[in-house]
Order: sequence, then C-alpha cells, then structure tokens
Amino acid sequence: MEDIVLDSNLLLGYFLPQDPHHQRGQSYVNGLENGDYRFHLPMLVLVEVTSVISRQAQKDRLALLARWRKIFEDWERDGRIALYELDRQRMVNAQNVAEQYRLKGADSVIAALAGELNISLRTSDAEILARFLGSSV
Amino acid sequence: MSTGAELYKIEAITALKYGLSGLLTPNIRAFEEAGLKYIDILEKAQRDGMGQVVEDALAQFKASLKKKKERRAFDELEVFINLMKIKDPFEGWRAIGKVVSERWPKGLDCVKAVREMRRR
Repeated sequence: MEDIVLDSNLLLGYFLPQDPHHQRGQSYVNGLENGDYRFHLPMLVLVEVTSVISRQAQKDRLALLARWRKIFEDWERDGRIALYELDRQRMVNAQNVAEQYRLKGADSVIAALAGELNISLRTSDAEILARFLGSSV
Repeated sequence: MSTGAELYKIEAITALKYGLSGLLTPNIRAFEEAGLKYIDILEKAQRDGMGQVVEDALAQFKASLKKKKERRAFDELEVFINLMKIKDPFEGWRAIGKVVSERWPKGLDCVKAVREMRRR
C-alpha cells in the first residue's frame, strides 16, 4: 500500500468522465478501494471539494453534498483516509513551502503535508507540478 | 390494505412532507433527517415484506405535487434518498460521480474549478 497526499482536483476529476484528469482520478479512487493507496488529506481538501460541488453543481446540490460528507465519514471510519488539521506547526510548514516554492496559500498547505509525512503529493495542477518537487500526477 | 401497510404509508408520507418542507424553508438539517427517516421506514417495511407500499407512497406523493417549485424540490429529495440508500461508500462514490457529471457546467475541467475556488 502506498501513502499519498491527494489534491482536490484529482478527487473531483473522478466525477467527470469528460475531464482530461478523469482517468487519473479514477485510478486513485480505485486504488483506495482495492487497498493500493491510503489517502492523507488536509481537512482543507474536504472543504475545497465541498465548495466546488456547491458552486458548480447546477441541481441537487444539497443531496450531493450530504452523500459526499457521508462517504468521507465512512472512509475515515474504515481507516482508508487520514485527515489532518491545520495547527500552528503546519501553518509554519505551509508558510515555509509558500516562501520556498512560491505556491498559493491552499497549495502550500497541501504540499506542506506531503513534506511533513515525506510522501508524494498527487495533483493535476500544472503550477504545483512545475514548482513543488515532491509532486506528480 | 392491512393496518401495518397503512401505518407504513402514513409514516412514509409524513417523512416525505417533512423533507419537502425542509428543502423549501430551507432547513437543511430537517431535509436530511426526513430523507434518512424515509429510508429507515423503507428498510423496515422491506423486512416485513411491505417495501412496495412505501415505494408506492413516494410515487403517489410525488404525483400529488402541483406546484413547479415543490416538484423541483421533491426531485432533489428523491436524489438524496437514492444516493443515501447505497450503503457501500465506493458504490456511493460512483453514484455521486454519475449525478455530479450530469449537473456539471459544460467545458469546465476540475483543475480550473479548483483554481477558481482557491482564487476567490
């Protein structure tokens, strides 16, 4: 089993068959299901996915968000994902990442967790891939 | 219809009315509680061999709605019930994926959507 930090865009990519990153998103969630991966996620990622669904879903927003929350509760209960709070030390780590790699705020929080855990950050975001050495698609 | 079936029907319609009211108010907590209550009633009825009564109650209640606003809200309650009925989280994930992809703006990819949300 491989431990990874997964960016919001790959979780969302799973949902959209027409998206250029759909197959990657699908492979990560399939890997989570069959035990190839364990996701380590800043709590921020869950807030971001909720926010994107809430802003973009053109119908049935509340139904989708309720089910999405339940899935993450189930995954956490089953030990498939681990969630991380943004505490003072992680704030400092994220500030250091922002300074060193010139990443945006949320990107820095996500990248800093990968650095802290010494595991790979998987993302579809070209800017993070270009700037943060520990990231890959 | 037997007394047991009547009771299931009344309970199911009460839950659906409460859920619809929650969506229209809007009271999200009430909407979710009512949707989960309907699922609970359905599962109990299925164990008693009367699941069809509860499913028919939903169809009848839906058909009785006259206002467009109510019908639209009820459609969302029905989506919620169908998604929450799925017990396995990965099956639930696949079901959400199908619904989200049908409701997603055309031409918007997920990287752009996240980028836009992080900027604002």
